[in-house]
Amino acid sequence: MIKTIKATKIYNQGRTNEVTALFEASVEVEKGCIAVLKGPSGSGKTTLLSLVGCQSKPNSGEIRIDGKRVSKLPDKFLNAFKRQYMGFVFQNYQLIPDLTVSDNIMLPLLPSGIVFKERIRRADELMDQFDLTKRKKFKVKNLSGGEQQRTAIARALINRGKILLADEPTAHLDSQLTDEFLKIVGRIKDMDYTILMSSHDAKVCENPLVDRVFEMKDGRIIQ
Amino acid sequence: MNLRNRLEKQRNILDFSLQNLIRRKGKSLFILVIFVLLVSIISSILFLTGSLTREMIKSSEQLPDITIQKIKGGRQVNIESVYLDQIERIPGIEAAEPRAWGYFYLDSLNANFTIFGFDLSLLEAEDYETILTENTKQKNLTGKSQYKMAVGPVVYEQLKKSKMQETYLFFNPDWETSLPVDIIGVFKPETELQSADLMLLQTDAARKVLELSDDEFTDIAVYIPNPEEVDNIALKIRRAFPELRTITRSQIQSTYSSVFGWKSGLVLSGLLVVILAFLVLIWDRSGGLSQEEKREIGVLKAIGWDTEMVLAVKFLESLILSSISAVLGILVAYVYIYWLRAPGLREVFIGWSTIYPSFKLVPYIDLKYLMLIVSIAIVPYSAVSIVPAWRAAITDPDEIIRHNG
Amino acid sequence: MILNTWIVGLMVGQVTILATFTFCVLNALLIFLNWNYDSSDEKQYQLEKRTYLVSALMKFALVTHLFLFSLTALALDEISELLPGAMCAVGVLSANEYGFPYVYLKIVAVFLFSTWLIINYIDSKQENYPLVSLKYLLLIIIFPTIVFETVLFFKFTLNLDPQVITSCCGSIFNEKNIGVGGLISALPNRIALPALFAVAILSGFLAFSDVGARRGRRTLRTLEALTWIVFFILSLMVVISFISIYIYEMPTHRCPFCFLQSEYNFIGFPLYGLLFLAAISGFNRGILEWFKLNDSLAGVISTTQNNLGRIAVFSVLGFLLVGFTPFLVYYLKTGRLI
Repeated sequence: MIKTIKATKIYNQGRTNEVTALFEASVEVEKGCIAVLKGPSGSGKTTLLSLVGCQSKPNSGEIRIDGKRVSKLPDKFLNAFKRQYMGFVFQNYQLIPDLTVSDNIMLPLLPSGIVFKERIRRADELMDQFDLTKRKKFKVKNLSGGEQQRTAIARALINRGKILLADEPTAHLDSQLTDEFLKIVGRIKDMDYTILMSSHDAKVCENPLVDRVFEMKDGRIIQ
Repeated sequence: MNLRNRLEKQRNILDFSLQNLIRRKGKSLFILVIFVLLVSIISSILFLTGSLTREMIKSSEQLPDITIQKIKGGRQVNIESVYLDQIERIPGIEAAEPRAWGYFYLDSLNANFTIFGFDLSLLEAEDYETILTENTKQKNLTGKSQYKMAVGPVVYEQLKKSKMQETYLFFNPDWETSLPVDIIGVFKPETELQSADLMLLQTDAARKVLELSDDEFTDIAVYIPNPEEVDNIALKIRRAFPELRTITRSQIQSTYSSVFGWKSGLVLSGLLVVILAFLVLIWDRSGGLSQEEKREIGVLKAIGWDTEMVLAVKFLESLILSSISAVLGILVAYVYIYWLRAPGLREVFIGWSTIYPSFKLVPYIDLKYLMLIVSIAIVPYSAVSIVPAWRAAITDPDEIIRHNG
Repeated sequence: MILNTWIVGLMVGQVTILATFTFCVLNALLIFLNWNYDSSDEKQYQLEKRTYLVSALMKFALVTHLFLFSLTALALDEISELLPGAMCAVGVLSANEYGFPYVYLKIVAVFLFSTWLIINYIDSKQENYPLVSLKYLLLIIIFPTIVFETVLFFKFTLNLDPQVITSCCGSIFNEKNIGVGGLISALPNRIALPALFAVAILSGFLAFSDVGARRGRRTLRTLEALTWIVFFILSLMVVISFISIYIYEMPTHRCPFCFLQSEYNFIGFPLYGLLFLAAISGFNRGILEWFKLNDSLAGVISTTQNNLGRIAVFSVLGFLLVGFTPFLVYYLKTGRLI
């Protein structure tokens, strides 16, 4: 489902502060699997997630999602593909604080032109599932951390894609909430998702749900 | 995507843009106020000149086809009646009519009035109805004086102040006696712009007041039934009498409109700098994205919004804001010009006479005026707002993922 | 020179278009010179982002151009009050030798703009930017048109002299007059009208005919594009010599601009709008044949061509309906022809 071939990402290319964030990373995740990128901060986990999530393009190498070579797609096609396949949970959730929970969740559907009724239906379903219905009309800035994360997850799932990517999902959670999160991950896996997360939390990496752990260091996959 | 999805997408873009504007009230309001100010200035000038030109053109339609003046030493002098016969004989001319008119300065009122000689017996009963105000006409028809006149409403008000609203005594220090003239009516206010300072006198009285000798007139009015021939006949008259000057109606009309057009163009060009400054100010305010806005756009890009859609949202924000401002600005200008009667601006356009200011303007607004306002205000603003919109739209989603701020 | 609100307004618009376009071309040049699809470095990604800027600017430029064109037609009427002898837009345009060339160039620019935007649209439907170099080259080639148009605009407005007496549509579109105007009117309706219908039928016939060979098809479609140009020109003639006199209900009034005014219920806008839409769709339908560089492009282009064909047909019908309604109304009302 997810395949990177010698993907390299260089930031600030050609400038004095040039950084090779990722060097020839090759990773493969089968359909329906849960994989974790493990490593200290600055090891290139986020960069790899961002490449797989079609958020940036590699400077060399290739990214293939479901057999499609996405690394050279123009923005319009890339985003259409992203909307069809991807859900992304960012480290700080990256919600829009002035909008309500349901508005936030529905945001990814706006470019697809899915009609209002259908958007509401999907959002209600997800809010029900993640215990957010009571918070529906709340502005996101008034939510607790756990609620914000659940909103972010709901937003990542609303397009009914095939892949869920999560960047350090448990970094801001205590142990109880981490357990809860892992439970949710299990549920999402049952929804036929392929999941790739980055984490340095042992509780996540050693969880029986996880099928594969890639260890990263200094922008390379070491194991 | 089928048609329905595409329409829904456009609606979403519109909704989201509106939502953004409402969410950032402070910023939107700032731009709105400046823009409204800008548009109202432009539209005021436009409305005022539009109405004035229209009014002038309308009033000049009653002018003779050709006005003939005599020129001596570069000045206009009185024209002798001998020309009359010769001019009337030119083929194509229906009638040539000598006119006596001029100005009379009233010391007591400190104002200049226009005196116009006219055969008042021509004002038959029906004409009274159309020209004169109901409550003033006829009541003085039985006046005792030898001469009669009709006056403009402003003149009438002035005369009332000096208690001479029934009979006015014309007087000049070098005259032996004063000349009493009965006032038989007041013009309706609709004709105010032309008739404000007008005194329409019986021809004989006008000649006396203006001190014209017996065979002299101010000028000659020529009427020509076929409009195509006007320019030719004017040429013929000038060839036959090099000392005469001809002024055709279309010349007067284009002078009117160019005077107003020129004034408005001048004012507008002067304002162009102000407009530009405003635009830069708004642009600076709307183009500069706050950290939070930048992050938001990054989020949208990260969850699958394409560059074009973000660009459309941002562009639409400017467009909505400038359109709303344009509408409001036009309304403000309308109120300012037609309800408040353009204080501050009318002096620029009407200028020379102190007696005019009570004039009424008839609203004249056409689609093209609105288009012109759009062309001056919205078009350049939209053009410059494309680049910041694009800058925002190409925000890398990657940035918000890497900077965990 | 006349300093006037209308002229100031038109100047602001014209300068905006030129500035937008210049900025576009600078970007286009940057893209054209540095484009390398196979490269994955940062520079290439930045260029890809720049293509969105150019598209947005060009769309804006076309809309503004059309808007300004309409405003010009309306403003000229207003300006005519300043020029002795000129009673409408035609009189103003003929006040000096730059007026009509300016308008002609504006029409040409509309066609070029539309072609570029359609090619841009087709390119954006492809995953690998197949037409990028070509379309930016085309943009650079179109640029002088806009520069020239702006030069003509300024020459035209700055040379308007209220002292000089000009003529008007009554005399310009008079059969006895020598020149383009006279030529248009000298073309009797019994030739112009059937010619118009013949060309419409011919282009319809060409649109439906097809040949196997790619080269033959190109020739065929190019011919089709040309027939649309002829159709456009003939239509303008018929508008002046036939349609306008029934709108004004006056045999001598043949102004192609006055009926844009509110006095005639803005009938000129749907009339010209549909005519432009028809001619542009038909013309580009033919021109697009040249851009079928590979199978994938050929697929998208064929779909686009079908859509354009449909738009053209409906627009022509709409144009004829709008244009001939005043004639029918007049004829039914009075039972006479003018």
